[in-house]
Amino acid sequence: MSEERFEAWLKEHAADYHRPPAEVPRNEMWDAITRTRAARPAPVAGHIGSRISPVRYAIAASLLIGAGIGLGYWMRGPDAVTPAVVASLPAATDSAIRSATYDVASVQHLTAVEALLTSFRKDERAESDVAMRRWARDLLASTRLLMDSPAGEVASRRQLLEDLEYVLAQIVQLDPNAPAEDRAMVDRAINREQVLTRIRSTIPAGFPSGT
Amino acid sequence: MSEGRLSKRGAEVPEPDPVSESQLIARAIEGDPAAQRALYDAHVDRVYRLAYRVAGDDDLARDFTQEAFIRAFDRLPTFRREASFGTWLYTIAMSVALNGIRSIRRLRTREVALDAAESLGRRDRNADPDLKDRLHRAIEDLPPGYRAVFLMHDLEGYTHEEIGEVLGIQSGTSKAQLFRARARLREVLADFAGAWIA
Repeated sequence: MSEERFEAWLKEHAADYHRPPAEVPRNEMWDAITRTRAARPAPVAGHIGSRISPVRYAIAASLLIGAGIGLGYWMRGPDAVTPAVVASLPAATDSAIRSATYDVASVQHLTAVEALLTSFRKDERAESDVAMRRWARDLLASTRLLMDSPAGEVASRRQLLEDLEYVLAQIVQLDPNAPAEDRAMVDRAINREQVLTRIRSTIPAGFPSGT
Repeated sequence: MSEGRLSKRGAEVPEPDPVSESQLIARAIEGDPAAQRALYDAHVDRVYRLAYRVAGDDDLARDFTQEAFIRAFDRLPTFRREASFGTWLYTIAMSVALNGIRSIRRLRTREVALDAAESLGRRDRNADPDLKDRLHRAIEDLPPGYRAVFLMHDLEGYTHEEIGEVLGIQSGTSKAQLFRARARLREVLADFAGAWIA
């Protein structure tokens, strides 16, 4: 009951938030649109090149992850601490274990996002592939789950997750035949937020890389 | 998005029927200015309303609306009719608006941070913003995904299925985002609980 009351109250009181004016400036906007379009060269239709199959992406992703794991083991060397040693350490508190679990989940997630973004930037036709968008959609869902979990309580990580949410949402929404400028917009977002650099600086040294 | 649906709170402009809209699209692709204007007239109110809800500023809402239509007309030959023209257009509009406001907010945050640092000693710490300000600020502070769903559902009357199509998410995700948005607002506004409990 209280929930319903709150929803009703919220709808009523939030209605004023950014309430649009009753009069929409139709003609002024139309004039601006026609002026802008007239001043630009005719748009080039998006090219329809050969598409990369989802299988190729799956294979590429598997190879990347495999290579990353192999590299991780190689970099750790023979003297690295093994899981058995870790297990013999004094018992940690519940909160410490929970925190460590979310840390590991976050790092694993970030390596996957790094792999996706790297693949996206390397292939100019990436947005046309269904597998790429599906992959981005899955990672977008995971990003949001992490944002709502204790993993999102760390301020720096939360900022990174929010930026990733923004970039992944753009990739998910890319039209298969989107013009190059749309793709460039996503690239710019990746560059502007320095997403890849920040991901790489968050992933601990020796952790299997996503690329 | 269902054709002919009227937004609960949105402008009461009926969408054109699919047959005539399909003809309009074909003519617009051929460069017929009258067809382009007709498509514009049929959808501009809702696009502008969405842009305004996101931006909260007339100039920005105009810019976003114009940009959305320019992109839509440029891309019209690639419109595949898998969704309705309206859904396709609103997807472009939301993308333009959310990306635009994101960039602007980043700039403003930096400016505000500087201003805040300069005026730290002058701030009135006893100032207690009223409920409306707190509510609006709380909406402003929602994560972008939550905010977009909240604006579209609670303020503009879109269904979760429509929101899912426009934002490229599952309708279940839209419901979850709305639930979380409301929960967060309720938490932030807990001081004012008497307002809705009474």
